[in-house]
Amino acid sequence: MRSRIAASGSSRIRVIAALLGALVIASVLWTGSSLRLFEGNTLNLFQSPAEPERIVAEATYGKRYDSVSELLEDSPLVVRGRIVRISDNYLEGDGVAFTNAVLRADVVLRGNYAAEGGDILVRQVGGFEPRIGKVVEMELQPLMRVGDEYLLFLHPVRRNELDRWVVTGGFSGRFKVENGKVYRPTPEDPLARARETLSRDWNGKSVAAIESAIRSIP
Amino acid sequence: MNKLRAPIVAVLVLVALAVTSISASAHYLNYSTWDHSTVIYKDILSNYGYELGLSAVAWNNAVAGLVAVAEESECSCDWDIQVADNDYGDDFWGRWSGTLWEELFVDLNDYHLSGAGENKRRAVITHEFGHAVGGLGHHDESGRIMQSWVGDFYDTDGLYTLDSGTISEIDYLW
Repeated sequence: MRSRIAASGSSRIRVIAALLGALVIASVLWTGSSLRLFEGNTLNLFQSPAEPERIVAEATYGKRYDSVSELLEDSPLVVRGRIVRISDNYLEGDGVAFTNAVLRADVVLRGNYAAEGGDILVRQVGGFEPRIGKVVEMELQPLMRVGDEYLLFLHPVRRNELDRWVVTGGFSGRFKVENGKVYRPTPEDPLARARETLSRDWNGKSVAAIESAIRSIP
Repeated sequence: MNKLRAPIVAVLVLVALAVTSISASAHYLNYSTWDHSTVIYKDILSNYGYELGLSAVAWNNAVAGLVAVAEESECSCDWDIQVADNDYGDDFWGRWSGTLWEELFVDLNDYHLSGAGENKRRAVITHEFGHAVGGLGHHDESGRIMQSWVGDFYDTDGLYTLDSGTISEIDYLW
């Protein structure tokens, strides 16, 4: 009887110890991360204290693009290449951050606006915003990094100014290239995902296939 | 094996808590409501003050107990949402950033809005206030003001104020 009581007591201690351990782990995760249960727009679960917090902003764009041919209608420049440099992170207006990425075009599929050497300045919304003290990235458009390869549908920031370009339709005209295949971000909202025909048609397909499709459209 | 049961259960409970918290309803951006009833927005340049006022009224009528008001010029009170308009080029129409309980920023793009009619301006501003005031994320169902594209909610559906689906969602959230 005594040994049963002792065993039961020992088991209870183990359970309590396990729960306490779990609580300690949870506390560390809670305080050491940017996971906030009540703020769904926080990006990172873990980050070092030296890095500013990253948040996702939402934007409204003019037009939905459902196909490559629709993208081509509004994209005088279509290129594939790698990001070779992040030229600057600057503020416009009352503190909206923009980040310029320099893409070195390996293939120009549409247009001939690429500067000498094939470098194209791609303006992205997002970057460090001092007014918030955080890095802002747009929904489904993480800031491009040096070395990333993209196939991009582009139009000029302002009409007749061909020195800076933006991706057509926010994330619509942006295809990341990895190991010869194109990938697109997937919206979390099931309705948005269901309507995202560009992802359904092209995610995981070969670069050659989409480039062939682009070339076949007059 | 019995020795491992308690720690495994504890870890599984933690993982389940984390997963359910992260994947809660996709349509609610902030998972929370304002902790005070009067939300003050500050209109920096006033190019769209009229449309901002109409959009604020729409949200005030939809959200019981919440009043979005423009900061009076002589008011030194803290603002909750700052609205600015600038020419950002051929990019977004409107955008918001920030988090509830901290400062929120709504940016309106003059490049598009200056050439748009009054109702289309209202549509974009009402949509952005849906994020900033209402705490809603995008909702890509036809006939919703919170669709991602102004081409859908205004050009296609003709929406420039709150639709019944969004009002129901607000009733549920608030």
